[in-house]
Amino acid sequence: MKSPSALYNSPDITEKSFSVKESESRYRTTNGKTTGPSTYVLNAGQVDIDKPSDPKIDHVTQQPTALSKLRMELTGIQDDINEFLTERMEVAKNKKLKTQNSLEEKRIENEINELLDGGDGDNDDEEEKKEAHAK
Amino acid sequence: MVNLNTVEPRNGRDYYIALGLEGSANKLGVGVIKHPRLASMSGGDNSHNCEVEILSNIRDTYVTPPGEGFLPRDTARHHRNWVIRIIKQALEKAQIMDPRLDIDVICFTRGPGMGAPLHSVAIAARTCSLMWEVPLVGVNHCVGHIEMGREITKAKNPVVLYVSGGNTQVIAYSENRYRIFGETLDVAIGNCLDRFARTLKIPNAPSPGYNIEQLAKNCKNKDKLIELPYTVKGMDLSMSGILAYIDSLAKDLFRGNKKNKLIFDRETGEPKITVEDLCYSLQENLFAMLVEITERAMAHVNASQVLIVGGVGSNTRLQEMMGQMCKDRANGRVHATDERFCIDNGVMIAQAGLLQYRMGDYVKDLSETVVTQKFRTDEVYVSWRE
Amino acid sequence: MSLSHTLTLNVPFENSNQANIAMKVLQPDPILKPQDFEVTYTTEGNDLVASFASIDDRVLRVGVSNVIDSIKTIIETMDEL
Repeated sequence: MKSPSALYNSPDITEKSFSVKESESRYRTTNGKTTGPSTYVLNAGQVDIDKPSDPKIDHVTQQPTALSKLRMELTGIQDDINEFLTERMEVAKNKKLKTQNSLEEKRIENEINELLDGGDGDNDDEEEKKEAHAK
Repeated sequence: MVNLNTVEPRNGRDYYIALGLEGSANKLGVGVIKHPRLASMSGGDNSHNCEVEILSNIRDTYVTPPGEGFLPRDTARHHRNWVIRIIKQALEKAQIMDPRLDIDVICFTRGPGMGAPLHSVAIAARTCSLMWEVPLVGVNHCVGHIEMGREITKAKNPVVLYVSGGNTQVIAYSENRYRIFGETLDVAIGNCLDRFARTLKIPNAPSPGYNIEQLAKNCKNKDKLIELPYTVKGMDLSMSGILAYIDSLAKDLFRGNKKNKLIFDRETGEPKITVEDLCYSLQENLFAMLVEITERAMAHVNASQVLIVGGVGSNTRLQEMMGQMCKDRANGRVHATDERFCIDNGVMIAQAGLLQYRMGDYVKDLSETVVTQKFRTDEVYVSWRE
Repeated sequence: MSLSHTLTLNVPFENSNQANIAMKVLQPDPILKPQDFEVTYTTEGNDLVASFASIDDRVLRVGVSNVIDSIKTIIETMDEL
């Protein structure tokens, strides 16, 4: 069976392709790096007992079934895509900082910072949001 | 007269089998049930007497560390990573040999609840349906609780108090709808209890509400209630004010805020109340409010029986207080199920879903299976009752 | 704003029946707001093809990872049940 693959395009770079490299372990596990528990719960001391299930092993060949192999390879591709796009997001963020020299932009940025960091009720808002989700 | 045999069992069987999938909050439940095909069900009003047989009822709860609530993304991850294993377990326990032949309908929670967790279970439900070529039914979570309660307790037409982490409603049946007579204006009672449990930093296993109940039971000062705001508003109630207040009491107790004379003795500076006292008073206060709005609904529809469903329904003090009110009123009684069915589970979804299916109401196009966080109980057309 | 950040994902199944089922299971759900993110599904032989278009990389990442999570569930269902 073929392996999964992906192709990325955006206005400012030439295309980037994603494919499975047989030798690398990230394409042979169901437990992806970028699909673990969120950092918030890990920081609160959560031990992960909810990992994805293991691949199904065909008892004749003693190898993972074709669909299990597909699931593992897709897990690796998912990590590749997530890591790549995260890098691109960092680049975009840095670019923004470099061009941010107009007075108007500075004023707006200050306004936002005051709203987020200054005065009462901001942290409470974050807590409220988390608690609203965590019913 | 209602014909619950509108759709016959598949493959020449004389019984129906339904698979139920539940994942609207942090409990992932899968259940398999069996209804015999009874001739009496072709005309009558007996949807609370299906003679259900529970072939399997498996549940796995996503538990967070003490002091933390459960976030949608991590809850969805838990459900995604366990759903297939739990379905497999449930099918094996029910001795389903070939789902293609043996299952009549796959029932899943369409809502209400948390979006991402609901969705992760719906994906599995849709895949099974297409793979096995078995019909699909989307179920309202609350209706699932109600139908399970009716079937288990045999209460034909009680006023229903639905109390859980996400819902607080007083419901009465009328003309093919479960009508909401009273409800919370802000948070659900289970949410209120869960959040107070986080303030107290008590463990979340088996559930924060259960641990509050145990602390309340151990209160040594049951004759001295701590005064809390009492916020019934007509047929409805509000709880966020009570939560804010009792949170502040607990925080003052933990921080040793001697200025609070309710908590610390004026002269000795010693604490006058314990965590157990707070839990006890909170329960007494909240439950009294629930009893009041339930009684109001009973008066309205002239009912003498109450059925309590939802996770908070497993609280024995709530059952006790409600039972006392029912007895005092009209020598009525309270019905409740045990935690196998009170707490979110797949069997209740199968029960409500199978009733819906037997009336001919099942999914014709997958666009009908998009999950929804808001899904009011009275939106469901209850075709299986007169 | 145009959805100029795109990604095409190719997932080869064992047969076209599986690919078709996967497509039907994924189709009903809107993932994010349509002005920010779009996804279309097609099949090519045994392959499921998902075409994503987004306003930026952050939205693209969230949408793509979400859909891949669903595809992994679909694969596991077909494998185990």
